[in-house]
Amino acid sequence: MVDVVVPELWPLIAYFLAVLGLVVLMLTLSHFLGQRRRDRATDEPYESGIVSVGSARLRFSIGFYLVAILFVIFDLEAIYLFAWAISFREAGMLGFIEASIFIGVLLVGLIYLWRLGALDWGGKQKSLEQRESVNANNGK
Amino acid sequence: MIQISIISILFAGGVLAWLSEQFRPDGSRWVSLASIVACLLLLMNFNGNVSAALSGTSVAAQAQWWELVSAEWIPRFGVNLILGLDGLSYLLILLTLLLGIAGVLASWKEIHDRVGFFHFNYLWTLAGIVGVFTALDLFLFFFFWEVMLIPMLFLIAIWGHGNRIYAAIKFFIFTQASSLLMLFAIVALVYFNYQNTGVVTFDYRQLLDHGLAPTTAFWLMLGFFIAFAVKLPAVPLHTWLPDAHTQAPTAGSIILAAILLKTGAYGLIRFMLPIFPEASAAFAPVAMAIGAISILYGAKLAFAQSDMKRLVAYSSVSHMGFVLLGIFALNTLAIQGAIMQMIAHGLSTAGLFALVGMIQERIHTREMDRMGGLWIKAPRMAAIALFFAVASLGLPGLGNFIAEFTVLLGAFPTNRLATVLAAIGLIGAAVYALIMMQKVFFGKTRDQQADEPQAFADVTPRESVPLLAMALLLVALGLLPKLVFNLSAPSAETIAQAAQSVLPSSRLADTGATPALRQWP
Amino acid sequence: MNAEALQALTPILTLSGVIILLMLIVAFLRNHRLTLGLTLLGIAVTVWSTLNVSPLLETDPIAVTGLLVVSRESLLFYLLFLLSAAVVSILAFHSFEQGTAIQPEDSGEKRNKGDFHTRPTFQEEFYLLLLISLLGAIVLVSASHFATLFLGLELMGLALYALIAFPAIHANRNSRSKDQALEAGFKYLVLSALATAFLLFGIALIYAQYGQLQFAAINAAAAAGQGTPVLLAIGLVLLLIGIAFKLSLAPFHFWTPDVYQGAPTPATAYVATVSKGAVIAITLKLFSDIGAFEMRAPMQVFAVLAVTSMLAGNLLALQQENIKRLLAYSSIAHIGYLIVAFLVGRQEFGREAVIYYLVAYIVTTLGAFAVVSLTADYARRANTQSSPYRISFYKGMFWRSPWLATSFTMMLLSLAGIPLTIGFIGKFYIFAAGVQAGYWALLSAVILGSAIGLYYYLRIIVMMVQRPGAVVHDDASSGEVSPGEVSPSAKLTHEGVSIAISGQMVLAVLTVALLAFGIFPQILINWIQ
Repeated sequence: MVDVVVPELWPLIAYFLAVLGLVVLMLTLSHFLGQRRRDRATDEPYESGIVSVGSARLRFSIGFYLVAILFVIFDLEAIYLFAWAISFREAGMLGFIEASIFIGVLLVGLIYLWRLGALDWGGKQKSLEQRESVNANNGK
Repeated sequence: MIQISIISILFAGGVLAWLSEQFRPDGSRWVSLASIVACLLLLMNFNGNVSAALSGTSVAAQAQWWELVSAEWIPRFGVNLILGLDGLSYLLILLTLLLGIAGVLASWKEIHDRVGFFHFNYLWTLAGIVGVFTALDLFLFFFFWEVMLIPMLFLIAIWGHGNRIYAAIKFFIFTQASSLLMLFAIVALVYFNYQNTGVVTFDYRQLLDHGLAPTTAFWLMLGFFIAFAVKLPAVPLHTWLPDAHTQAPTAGSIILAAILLKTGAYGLIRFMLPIFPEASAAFAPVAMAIGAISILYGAKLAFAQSDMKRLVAYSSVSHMGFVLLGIFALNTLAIQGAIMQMIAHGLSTAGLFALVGMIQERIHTREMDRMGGLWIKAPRMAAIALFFAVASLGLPGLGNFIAEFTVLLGAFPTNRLATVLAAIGLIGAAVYALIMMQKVFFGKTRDQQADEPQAFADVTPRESVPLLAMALLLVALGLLPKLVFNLSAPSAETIAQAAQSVLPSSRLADTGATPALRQWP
Repeated sequence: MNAEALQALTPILTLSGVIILLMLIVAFLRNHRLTLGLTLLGIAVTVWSTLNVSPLLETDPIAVTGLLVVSRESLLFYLLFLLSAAVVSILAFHSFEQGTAIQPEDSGEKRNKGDFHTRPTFQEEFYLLLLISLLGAIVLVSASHFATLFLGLELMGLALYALIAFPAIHANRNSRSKDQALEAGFKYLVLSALATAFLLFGIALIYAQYGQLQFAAINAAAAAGQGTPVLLAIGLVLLLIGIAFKLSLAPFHFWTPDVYQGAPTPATAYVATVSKGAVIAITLKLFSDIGAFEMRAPMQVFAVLAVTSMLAGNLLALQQENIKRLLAYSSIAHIGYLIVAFLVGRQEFGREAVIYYLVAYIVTTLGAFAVVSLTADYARRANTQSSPYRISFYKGMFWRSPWLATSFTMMLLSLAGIPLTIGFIGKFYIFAAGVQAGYWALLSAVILGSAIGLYYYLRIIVMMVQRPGAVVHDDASSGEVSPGEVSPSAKLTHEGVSIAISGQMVLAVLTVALLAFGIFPQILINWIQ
């Protein structure tokens, strides 16, 4: 089996080896030929000559994360519905019922998220903890 | 049914004793006393068998089992509830119950707190022991073998002295680890028996003809032997004993030394020899050597102790060596002697432990260096102690002498060297027993003791009655050994025959002694 | 899919329905007591539907679409897991009421009374996650296809990460409990992912060999060929490594003590029982379905893992002072014992031994964790100074609360394999199975492991019966620690440990089951058969 595969793959293998060799060559050459200096700026990221400003660790709203994860969840589920839509006639009534259950479960999930406040955005967005304590205070 | 009744009375009595604590502070003591007495009364049912056996006429005609109960338990494994009772079991149960009463009386004043729970554990231990002495199904035997351990563990761990936790855990791990080996051997035995015969059974009587290959049988026999040798205890495996005996409360020491050790010997006689006769015969020289070493080593260590209870504990190692020696001599005479030794040692050691308990209760120490001159203060106690001490060293006329003499007589043809060494042990026994007497009861009163606020009281009737009864029994055994010999004869003979059928003929020289034994005066 | 198959699926469908319904209710109405009630009701309905299915299976197991097979054996596991989950949810209820579920390890930091009630805890989600994980376990044990196996395993695992890290949702910021729980959850997540990777790679190799994912089809393909193909053997070994992670067999056990310690105790109980039980059950099914018992390589790997687990688990448990870590190591050892019986799984007797030991292990472990959890709840309520997870906390407990201590003693004796308890029969089964197959070396490891194990179980038992204050006239000769010495914790908790009625009932039921099946094992054997 190996004999069959090798002739077909050899250009790929050669290319892979060439890449590897180039990288090694470049690193070795620069190691031996390049000059070395240790300055204050040596360890700074190179930004095309512009001095970098501020921290790389930005804080951004957790809302983005929530939206992203909700998108992934619901979008992925939609893929299953495509498969069902294509074979709608073949799947028949049973398929329809199954798809309805599927959508129903998704809907319940959505309702749950909504009640939990995952869909709120902007000014109203608060951490779950704060939200609950606000509710608790209102309740008093 | 009587075996089952006795066991269930003890179990139920234990629960009742625990509960009765709430109604009367003294209740649990009386309840446990009453339940043991009830068991003794039940045992009277066998009077017919006993007198038949004692008269010696109808022994041959008698069935081996006086009573046999059988019921299904776990059919999947072929496990049944089989409880049998023969002369040997009868003797040991009788011993258990008698010393059980002695234990309750000895603990009457010693145990103050959690009295109910104490008696619960006490009675459950006794129930487990009676179960061990009657079970004929190996699974059931193992079950009882373990059941008696846990309450015993509690007895030592809760009501013990000093370093009791260490002693309790050591005791438990030694016995439990070795009994795991036995469990393994039991399961393997049953499986190989199943392979050979196609029947899954734990019934001892059916397992007798298992037809194992000699090597396999030898390994399985070792599994049994280690478990029993730990309990016995034989020398390299004895280290749990001094700790457990010393730290246990008096009643606990009495059960441990006088009865619990006998379960090991019983296991050897009842299960190991009959099931693995060839393997046991092959192993006999080693076992006899271990027995002789136990006798000498136990005596030596007993001699070196300054703690009175430890001395008695090590003397047990020495005395149980005779049992091992006798059993593995593989002839009726020696096995009879071993059985006699089990009973006589049970009585004499129980007496000694009870005495140590009394002394400790009075002066709060067991150090012999701090005692002395007690004869003047408590002459009655000293006299009783002298009796038990000389019993323990084997004074002719008492049960221990008959036992040790018979063992030596029976063992001599089989293994001369071991027997000679064992006989030297008798001298050791005389030395340590007399030294104990000398240090504790004779000599000058020590100064420390003079400071004791309360005067050293002599024995009370509660204390002396069981001791005197035990002393009486020892005398009876010494003068009328057929009380034991005739009862245990059928068991001993069956076992010895089974063992001798596989022995080389040269060892059969002593069979002539057997009939003579029957006619012992 | 015919009507019969649909009916065979009713337990799974019922449980799914219960989860969705509970989720809707939780979204609108948050009430702890109500949620517990609904959870228990849902479990009860599922149990009922499981019992209804069992007459269908008198003769043959029912295959549902080639992905699932419902057999009587899997129904037994359904019941076992459902009941365990019911116990766990009751424990969780008390834990949340006292706040121990949110802050398992209380390091004596600032703590205000009622602190746990004003802050929201999202405790209702705990039950939701529990049920989802339970659904995963149930799907897992009825899998007959690698896809279902993976689905069930992941469903069970995903919910577990959240259950383990539950205290991280809410605790005082920077508290030790939060860190520990997060650490536990992360450890479990990362190592589970690693295990899953091994598992998937193994499955992929098996697929590469035969182009099949269904157990029966693989078996048929393997039977047609000669000997054991290399890819199949490698695949199975990789699969085994994944399974060993989940079962925390040594040397893949490093996550176990930390996870057990960091997670809220009810979640720990769940991880130790249902999650491990389901993996064992499916491994047994997988191996017998694809005929892996005949192959040498996976069996040898398993045998080695069993020995290392027995020895490592027991030896490491010796030094533990934290009861949850101790139980963690003890569970490693117990799964090791179980594997010995597992190796004989080809024979009917071996299967029986595995299932019996599993039931024994689950009942006992659940009981032990129940005691730990309820004691910790009490300690929180009584505001004791010392940590309730330290073994020394149990000192003298027998005298303060005899019933609790008695039942804990029973659990420990059962773990140690002493007669009268279910654990003894389990160990007996293992001996019998091992002897039948002639695994002498493995059995000696079992004996050695059990002997070591005795010590630490016994230590707790003896700790419990130590008299806290009673002074006896002790001899001066042995200058040991006087029994009159009282540990600080014993002083503080001199009154009995009080436990809510439902907690007491759980303990009573578990203890009775433990004794009943220990004395009359035939009942359970009949069910298994």
